[in-house]
Amino acid sequence: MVMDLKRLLSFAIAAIMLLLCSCSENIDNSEKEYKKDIFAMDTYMTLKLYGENGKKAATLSQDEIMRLEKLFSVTDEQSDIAKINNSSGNGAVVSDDTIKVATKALDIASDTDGALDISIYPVLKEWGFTTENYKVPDSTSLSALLQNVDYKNISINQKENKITVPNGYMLDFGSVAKGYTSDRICEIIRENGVSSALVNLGGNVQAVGKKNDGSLWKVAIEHPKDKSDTICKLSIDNKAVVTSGNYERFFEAEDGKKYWHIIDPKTGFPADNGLISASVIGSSGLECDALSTALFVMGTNRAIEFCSKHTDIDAVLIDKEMNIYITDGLRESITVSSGYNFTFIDRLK
Amino acid sequence: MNVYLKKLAVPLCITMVIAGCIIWIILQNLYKNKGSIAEVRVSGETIMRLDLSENTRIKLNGEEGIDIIIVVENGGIYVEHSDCPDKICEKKGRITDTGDSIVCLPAHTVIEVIKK
Ligand SMILES: [Zn+2]
Repeated sequence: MVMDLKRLLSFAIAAIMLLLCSCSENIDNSEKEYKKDIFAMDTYMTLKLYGENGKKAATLSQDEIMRLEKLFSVTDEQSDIAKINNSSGNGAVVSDDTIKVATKALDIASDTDGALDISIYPVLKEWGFTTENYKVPDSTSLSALLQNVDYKNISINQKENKITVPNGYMLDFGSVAKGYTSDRICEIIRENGVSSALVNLGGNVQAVGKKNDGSLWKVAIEHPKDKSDTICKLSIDNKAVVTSGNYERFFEAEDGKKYWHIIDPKTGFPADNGLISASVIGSSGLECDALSTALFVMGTNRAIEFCSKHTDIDAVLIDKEMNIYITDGLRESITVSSGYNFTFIDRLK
Repeated sequence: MNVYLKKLAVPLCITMVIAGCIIWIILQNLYKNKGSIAEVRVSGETIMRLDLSENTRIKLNGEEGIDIIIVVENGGIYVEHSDCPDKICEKKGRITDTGDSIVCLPAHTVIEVIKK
């Protein structure tokens, strides 16, 4: 009898403890998360860090973003890019960061047969994408401007840290700056002993480690035409996910057509080769950033061909008919929302 | 002594469990109602927290001299007007769920629904 009583009492106490615990768990869910908003590089950035040194790492990251923005800005006359562009063909000595980014951008340019070209700026400017005074340029001025676009004429002198472009050329790092910046921030975060963080630089997402509860980060790829709709979710750790799409920045001209900001360096017109969204998943933010632009420009067939040869990166491609192509490396980590057609791109390992 | 305890034991346990349940439900509800708060940040600085259960209309000064009029209505929040050129914040419409946010890039302003 006494045993029964004791058992009953201890059961009741245990039940109450359990209830109270589940309560406090709900209320006290702040496991040292530190969040920071940053407005830079014409975009909205968020940093989410966990652990003791979160705040310190976030502050250092912000300093780094500001430093890199100053180096890579096209409009700031003190920037490395402006120095190169204003050197009348004589070249300029620039920082190590600029050399690194330009070198990688040229590698990818030649790898993608010029689908990525960091000398496209004069054309982008003519379309008004840099000032938001949009217009459709006439074909004569476009072909004249395209004379000053060709990544093959950009030369990098690694010994002297010097970059030279022909007179009339203009470089910009719009397609690579955010990727490099997120790589640098993730480095800083790791160096400061933070083992769990998520960096989002205006859609360029990069993860340090896993979530603080040990699970993988979930990154959504949005519907290109309806941001509230998710196409698929990726489970990642220590990876970058970068998407290029024609819905990010576009204008509707008087002819009723939509024109977007990713220019095909071969035509000078917005790239219109079948894809409406190209996401690249890999360990380097810079590479993902550059390749997402390049794959978008290449269009469906060339992008699929490129992906089937490059097993070091993964990609999710969406064409105009809403067919989704996914590289086989994502088989285990992707969840496609119901109602969407998708096929895997199989590759030899 | 033992007899009294034995008689009391069952009702006591039941009462304790019920009391626990009631406390739990109350706390859960408190927590839920307090969940609807919007944080308004300009250039990363939190300038105000708005309880979404209290309808209000507020004008705030974003960066670059951009004024934004925000409205709290029936548990949601939206940008009624912004002086920004792109109006992306106005087009975003009303948000209600934790984690949702409205961003006005030119004004360096973020409105985010948070817990607490
Ligand atoms: Zn706005």
